[in-house]
Amino acid sequence: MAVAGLQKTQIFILQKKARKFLTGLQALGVMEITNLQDETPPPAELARRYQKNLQFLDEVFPRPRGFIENFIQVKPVVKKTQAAELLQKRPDKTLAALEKLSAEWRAQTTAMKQLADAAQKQELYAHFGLARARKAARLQKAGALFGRVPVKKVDPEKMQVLRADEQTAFVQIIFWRADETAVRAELAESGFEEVLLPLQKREYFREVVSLKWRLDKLRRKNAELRERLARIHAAEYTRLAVWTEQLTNENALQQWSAGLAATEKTSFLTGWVPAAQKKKLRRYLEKFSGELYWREVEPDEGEEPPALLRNGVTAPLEAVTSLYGMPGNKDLDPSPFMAPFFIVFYGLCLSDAGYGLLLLLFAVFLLARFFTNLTKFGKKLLILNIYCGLSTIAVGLLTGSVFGLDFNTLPWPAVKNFFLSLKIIDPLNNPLPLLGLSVGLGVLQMLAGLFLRWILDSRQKDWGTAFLDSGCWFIFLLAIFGWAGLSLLPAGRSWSPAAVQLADILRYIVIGGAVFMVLTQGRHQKNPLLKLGSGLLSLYKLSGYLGDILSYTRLFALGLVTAVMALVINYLAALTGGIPIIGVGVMAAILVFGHIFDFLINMLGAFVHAARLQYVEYFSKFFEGGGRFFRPFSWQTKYVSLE
Amino acid sequence: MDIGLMCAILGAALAIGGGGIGSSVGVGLAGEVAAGVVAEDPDKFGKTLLLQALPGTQGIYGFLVAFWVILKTSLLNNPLPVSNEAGLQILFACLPMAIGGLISGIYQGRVAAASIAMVGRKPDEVGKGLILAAMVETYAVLGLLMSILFLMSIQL
Repeated sequence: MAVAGLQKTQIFILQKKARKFLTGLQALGVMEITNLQDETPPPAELARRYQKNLQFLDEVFPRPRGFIENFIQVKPVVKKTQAAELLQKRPDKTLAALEKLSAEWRAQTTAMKQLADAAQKQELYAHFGLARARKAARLQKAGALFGRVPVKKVDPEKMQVLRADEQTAFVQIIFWRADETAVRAELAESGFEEVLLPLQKREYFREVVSLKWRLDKLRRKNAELRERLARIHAAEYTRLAVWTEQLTNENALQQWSAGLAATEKTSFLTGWVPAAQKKKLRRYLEKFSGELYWREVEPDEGEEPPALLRNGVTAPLEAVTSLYGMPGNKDLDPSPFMAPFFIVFYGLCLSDAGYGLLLLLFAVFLLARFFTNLTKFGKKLLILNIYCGLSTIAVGLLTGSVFGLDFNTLPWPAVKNFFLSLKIIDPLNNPLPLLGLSVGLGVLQMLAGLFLRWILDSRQKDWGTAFLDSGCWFIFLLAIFGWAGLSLLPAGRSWSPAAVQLADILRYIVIGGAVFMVLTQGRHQKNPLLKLGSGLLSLYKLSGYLGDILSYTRLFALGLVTAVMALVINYLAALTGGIPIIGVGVMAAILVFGHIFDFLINMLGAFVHAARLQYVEYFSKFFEGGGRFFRPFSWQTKYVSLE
Repeated sequence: MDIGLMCAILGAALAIGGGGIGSSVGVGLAGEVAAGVVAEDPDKFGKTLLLQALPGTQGIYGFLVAFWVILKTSLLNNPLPVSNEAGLQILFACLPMAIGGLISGIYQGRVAAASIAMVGRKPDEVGKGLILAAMVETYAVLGLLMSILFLMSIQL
């Protein structure tokens, strides 16, 4: 539980062994090295060639992308054993072939584009004809213009229409050279677009035929080339990708180990190892005995170790923590302490058993389908969604919301009775219990936060803060809420006198606490009047706490939104069911899309608001953050995922 | 049709209109920035979409309140008789959602737009962007809560 202890470790090693050592350390993946130079050194010549050709293949054969791929980066999965096999032979021949083919491919695509452009131009010229162009060129005092105008703007008195399709007319205009400027100005207004006809040997339309024939020939060649590339892609893509990774990494290792050189003969590296992994590292270091010296040291003054969270069942909550920021070295890891709150809050916000089930299935599906491609963060997030799905199902059943169904219309009495027997709260008819529950959870979480602050202050032996600030506030608020809670209980029960007595005691604690607070909270001030003043002012913090608690009413409101939206969707669907012929189709569409929409938008809302309550209302009581992630030195692949 | 029912319908219309304006301005603002970010890097579409969706909730809340009024007055089947007082009560009950949704939707859209720009530069920080935008939504949620509680307590 909580933040793992990290040991600062320094290693001195013979320079000639540094690279071998680093390679092994990378495979081990237990140590963060803080004095590596570049995060990703530029690739060397061969690695770059591999990268280039791999990218070329990706361009020609892009992988099909589904909607999910917008959220998860999917790379081809390669088993480690398969990778080792592929790495036995470097596919330099394939690379050379690919380089040739890619050059050819590029030349072909450029040539095809040029031919297509030329053919298009000649087609345009063909509307006018070469004979006319030649005649026009021979004119002396008159001039001829050729061009396109929109059909609507054709002026038959001034233009001779040679050909026209639905929108454009191809026209010829003959004019006196003396009037040229005026004619052109007038034409420009009518949307005339001049076409300059080149004088060439071959008729335009013949040229078109010839160009198209050449283009077709080239296209066939290109298709052949594509097939050859496809064969290479199918047979060799994985090998190329694995080798690209390998070469890039070898190259990086080379540069990293060179950068670690400290003296003429030795290299030095320093970094952090989680305490639990020390044995593993030591065993590895022993393999190099005689070639290296290592020691464990204390961190320097002001140096903070990176944070590595270590939780059991509550590990998925680390995703929520890391979204906010990692714990600093004085912090507790808040993940286990917010686990029950977050999961219950999420359930209350999504609040429909049907959607809970959808969420559960969705998360399980994504986990199963994309397991290797998911980052650690992604996996945690999905497992968290499984927990949240379960809590949503529970909340949905207890509040009687399953896809917004009205249980009384269910045709099977057994199912109906099952659902009705589980339903113990009806927020639609009596909102107060659920509203009260939301506020109650808020009080609980706030007290938990203050309690944690108290523990933390005590742990740091900051006794003044621990007892006069955090501890005092904790007891004061506990008494206030206890008192308030007791006064809400119904009177006239067997335990009522005891409750009244307890309430009395709590009242004295509250009054005493307030006085104590006024006297102590101003202790930082020197002036006795100011002491009292800031003591009084500190009670104002109470309104802040009250505001925090009211913020939890969102749990009720968001839960209601999901449930009522589901009801509304069913209601609208039922209205359309009566339309003849298409009614059933419309109804089904409204039901399916409506519920998917309601599910998605509220899933997002539930996550965001459940997280916000942790960050703003809960963390502010005891958590500071500002730590940085522990990033062990390991192989980061770019093109494939190694399994 | 009596004045009471008219007032109730006006309330419903204001709730959905206010929420809808807020959301459409907000989602629109966020969408403009999102399109710019996606133009630079189409892979960020998913992340920007999440952020763009956030200011859309005010419209949904407004719709919800309007529908609540419809159900309460049974407008779609046989409208219940709504006294003038009750009608005005319903109208006023809808105002928290109408006003809160209108303003918070616009401002949430602005925060979402800025967060999308942030995702353009730091794609891993999408979670923080979501939370920043959700801070604004609090007030739409509170408005919704109040409108619903008012509506629940009004006796026709």
